Amino acid sequence: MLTITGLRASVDGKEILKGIDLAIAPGEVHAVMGPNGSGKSTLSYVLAGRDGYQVTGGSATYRGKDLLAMEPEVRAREGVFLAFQYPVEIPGVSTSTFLKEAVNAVRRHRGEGELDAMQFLKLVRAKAKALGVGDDMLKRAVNAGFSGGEKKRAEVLQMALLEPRLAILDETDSGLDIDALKVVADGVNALRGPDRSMLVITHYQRLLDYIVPDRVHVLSGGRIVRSGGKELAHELEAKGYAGMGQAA
Amino acid sequence: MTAAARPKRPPSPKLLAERTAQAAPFVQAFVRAFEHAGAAAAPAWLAALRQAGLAAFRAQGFPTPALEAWRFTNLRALADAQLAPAGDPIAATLPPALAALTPRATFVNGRFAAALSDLAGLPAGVTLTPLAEATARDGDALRTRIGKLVPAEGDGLAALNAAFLADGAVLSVAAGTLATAPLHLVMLGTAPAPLSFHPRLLVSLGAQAQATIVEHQAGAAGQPYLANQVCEIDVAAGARLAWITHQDHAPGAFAVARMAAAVARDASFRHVLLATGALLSRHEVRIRLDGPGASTGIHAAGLLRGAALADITTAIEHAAPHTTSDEIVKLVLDGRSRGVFQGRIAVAPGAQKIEGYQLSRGLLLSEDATANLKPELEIFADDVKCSHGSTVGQVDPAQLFYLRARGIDPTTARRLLVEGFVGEILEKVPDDETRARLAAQAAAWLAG
Ligand SMILES: Nc1ncnc2c1ncn2[C@@H]1O[C@H](COP(=O)(O)OP(=O)(O)O)[C@@H](O)[C@H]1O
Ligand SMILES: [Mg+2]
Repeated sequence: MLTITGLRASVDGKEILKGIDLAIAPGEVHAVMGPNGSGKSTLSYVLAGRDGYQVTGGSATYRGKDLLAMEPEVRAREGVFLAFQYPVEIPGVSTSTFLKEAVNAVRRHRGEGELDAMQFLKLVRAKAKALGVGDDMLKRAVNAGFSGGEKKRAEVLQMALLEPRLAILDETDSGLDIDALKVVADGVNALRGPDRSMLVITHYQRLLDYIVPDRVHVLSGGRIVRSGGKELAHELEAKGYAGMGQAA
Repeated sequence: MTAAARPKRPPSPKLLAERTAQAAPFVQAFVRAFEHAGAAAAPAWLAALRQAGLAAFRAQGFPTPALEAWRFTNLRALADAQLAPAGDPIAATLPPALAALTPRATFVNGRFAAALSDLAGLPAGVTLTPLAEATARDGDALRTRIGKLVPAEGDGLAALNAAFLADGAVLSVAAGTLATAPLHLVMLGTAPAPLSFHPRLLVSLGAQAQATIVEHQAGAAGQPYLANQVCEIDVAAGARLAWITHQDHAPGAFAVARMAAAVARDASFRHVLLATGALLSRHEVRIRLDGPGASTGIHAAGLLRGAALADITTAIEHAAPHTTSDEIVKLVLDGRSRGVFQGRIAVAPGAQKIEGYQLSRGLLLSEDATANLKPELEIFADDVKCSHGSTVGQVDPAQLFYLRARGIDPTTARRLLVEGFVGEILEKVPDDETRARLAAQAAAWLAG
């Protein structure tokens, strides 16, 4: 699904990612854990194509294509979805307008017909209900004035609507109480399947009790310093990041 | 925050000479038109009012950027265009989008057009009389109202309006009348030859009355014209007036609208403006909150491209304690356009417990566009809550990326963001149908 080889990236001339190697097969869920500032969000932005993140070396191949050569919207239409650590507030643009544009952009790309207003409403209501997202939120402006938990839920709703092949969840658990965390995890787990892969970025092991990963990687100082099975997350919990050894 | 008023200096001889030079062609054109129309037909008080307006215009001329209130807006092109006042009424047709709106009063080049109006559905308690008819009939009642809130003295354009005063409307909503369904005013400009027109609207709401006015300023493409409109509004105690304006004048037009409202105790005046038309426009709103509990809101959006200039100038005077105002002005600027906002909030000495909020934002879609935003707070009381903010910027890259990361192409993403920017203004329109229509018009402008 995704093969990252020797990926290096800089922000403002400062190297943040210092050679990342990571391969995610279809159907797999990988977790990336690491302390604050280790480069987790930078990795997610580079994969999503944000401006200002210069790739200085290495490659990322997504379903046989050069991911890094694609425009951000093309990556999204091809099935890459980033759940933002800090979802962006867009006052004045209603959530439902935004979601309809997004869903139809992706559907057009996939050769599926656009949904009309009624069809879209039916779809979005069903998905929203499953995630405990109220109809009123759809009328509100995108993320504007949402609580932290509402923003994260809205990200998962977007993911459920866009049905990505590769979902990157950047600290989708942060700021959630345990009930909200379960709802979000259920939403993510509902999307798991043999054709879908996930990269779950988290600071805490807690989320991985609910979204059980196939592989766990520890990111530190812009490098993956350890990789292992799901038990690595528990080891991290016990020993802390300090016990993982720093990047050389 | 306190900003002292600039002392008023008398105009220099050079300035006066320049003004007179600018005014001359206009004045001559007016005098000819005035004679042609047979001024004798007007009652003596009206003739005197016009003469006084003419004299004031002669003294003032067009405002120039030497005046603080006109620093960013140069009317040179208007002065040079020599737009003689419109003569006999010109037949016109309504834009199709407006033809279905009722009740509706239509004015063509400032003159009431009965054939294009439909006032059958006017609710009881609401009367609309063409000003020409009212002045012929009702001199005593009108002579004190005309110019009460917008005096000709010291204001060249108001003076010009008084000098050319011919028609407009007297709109009254009787005390206690609830007329919240929109009443439409269509102010249509049509210019087979270059011309100007100077309508005046006199509006009053009696105590506890409620009304919604939707004003459509529109124009047919043709020769340049000047729409120089004055609107004087009295909102009596406890009354509520919502006034929504879509300024959609012809692309080559000069459009000046002066709106002044006196808002009494516990009354409210809320104004929403969408400006998409004209080559050069000045929308000036002066609101005086006269009694405790009075409140006002001004929400304005200007969409400009090409070489257009839109100037939105507002002055809110908190003349009494316990008054509130909130204001948001947004300018979307493409091409070589210039957007101007001047927003004054004045709090009179002793007017305590005031709340005032003002936000102005310019969104630049092109490198050649300019925004001049000038908030001005004059606060002479200490127990007040006034805040203001002003920003000019481009489309936010973080917002743009967020939309693109969901598969939305950059063009659509930008359009959504600009619509959202304007949406914060249009959501203030109280009437659903009107809000939807304005949103569609804004979207059409953005797509065009
Ligand atoms: N826009 C930016 N400009 C400059 N430095 C940045 C920027 N974004 C991130 N960084 C730096 O890059 C490093 C990694 O940040 P980030 O990827 O956000 O880490 P994480 O998500 O793991 O907390 C940090 O040292 C941070 O200060
Ligand atoms: Mg992060």
